[in-house]
Amino acid sequence: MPDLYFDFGNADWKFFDGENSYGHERHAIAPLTESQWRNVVQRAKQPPEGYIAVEGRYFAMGEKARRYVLKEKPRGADRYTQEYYGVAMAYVISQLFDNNHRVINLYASHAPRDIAYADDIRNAAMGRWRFVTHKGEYNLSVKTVETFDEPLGGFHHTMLTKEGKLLKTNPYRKSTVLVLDVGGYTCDVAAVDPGGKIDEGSLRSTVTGAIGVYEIFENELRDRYREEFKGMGDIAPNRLEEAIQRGYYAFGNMKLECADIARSAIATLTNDVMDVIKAAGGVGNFDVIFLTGGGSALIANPIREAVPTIDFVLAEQNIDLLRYANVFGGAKFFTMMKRLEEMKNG
Amino acid sequence: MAKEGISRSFRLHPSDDKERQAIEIIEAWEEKGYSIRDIITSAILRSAGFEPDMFKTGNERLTPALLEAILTDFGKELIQTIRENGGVPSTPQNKPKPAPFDDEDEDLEAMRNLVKGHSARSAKK
Repeated sequence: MPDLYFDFGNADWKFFDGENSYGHERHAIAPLTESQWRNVVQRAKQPPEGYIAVEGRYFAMGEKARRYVLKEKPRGADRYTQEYYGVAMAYVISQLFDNNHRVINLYASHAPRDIAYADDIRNAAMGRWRFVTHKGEYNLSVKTVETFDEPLGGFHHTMLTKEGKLLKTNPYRKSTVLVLDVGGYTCDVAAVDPGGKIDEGSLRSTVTGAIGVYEIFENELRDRYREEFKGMGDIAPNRLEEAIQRGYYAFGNMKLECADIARSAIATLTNDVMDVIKAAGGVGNFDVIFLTGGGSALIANPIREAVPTIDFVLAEQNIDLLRYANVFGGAKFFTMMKRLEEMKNG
Repeated sequence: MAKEGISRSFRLHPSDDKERQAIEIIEAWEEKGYSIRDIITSAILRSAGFEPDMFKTGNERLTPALLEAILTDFGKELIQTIRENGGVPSTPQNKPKPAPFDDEDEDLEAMRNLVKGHSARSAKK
């Protein structure tokens, strides 16, 4: 029975099958009318990638959704409905799995402050799902739903092996750890005491993230290169990310220098994260800080320079995969739980 | 033996230490001009006691660890494919025995604390 580890991030969704397949998609859902759907599908049996029909309702998803007028994203518990979360879940199921599966287990992550909505997540996901994507017709049940805190996913990815073991050779086994999960819109924290004891009082979310960096960067970039960007519509988010990483924006065959703009935009997030560390008790109360979440890739080097008095460890050594650290860690944690249960049951 | 040959696919994941090592070594062989087919075929032959040409060059980079990583993944993928095609029922007696917890390398107490923490969070839902 396949497992889906699903991080329903505010900026983008990350998903993992617990084995070797993973992916991400921009967080965007655009409901379509029947006529818009017919235009998309035309005479084909299935829609193209990026579209889904769920029980007579039609949607464009992710990057494809940006072609349509997007409504304001629901907030709070309103996100965790069948019509919103459920549709996103169905779409990512089709991204990872073929349509020959009948039952899926869902492991859904959430920000610490959304613990109150865990039952809403369960209700939004469980049950029978019939939908159509570019891969064909799906008819399956989500049989079980487990939830977990995203920063703890990052913690588990650092601490556990793929087999779900915490080895005595792990150098952080006896450390007091602060986990910083830097996402698109929020930075979440969790403190874990030596021996794996989670400090529940430490779990919190702060509104700051990578999206703020991209917004500042884009504004400064357009301001500096007013002539070049005159009349240009939206800049694709991935082009902004690339420009920040490279230090120049590839504009046709021109390279628009912007390393200084990138540094200054990243500094705003670095400063916010330093405030988050102070609010969590300050570096003096921890032995090491784990960085997880896609936004951590932006600040890893600047924050190490700014705060040299503590080690910052990336939850995922491959910086391109940092955004997946929480779902990778969720898989390791539930593997560990299954082992413990199997041994207990003899 | 299937006249048409067999086709399998799998992905080695860089987040796993063994698989990352396997990826690096495979890429090194590919730089020398060997295809992935050559590498896996030769590794399997070697495991059966044959000495394929690629290992006679004196290159010592196909270590037992890489061989184990390649064959383990190949084996898992093969079993999964057979199951999906109805060949081997996935019945309880076929389930691999769980790894014992008297493994002195594991910090069992810390693992239990992590599970307790998760359960405590679950109680808040």
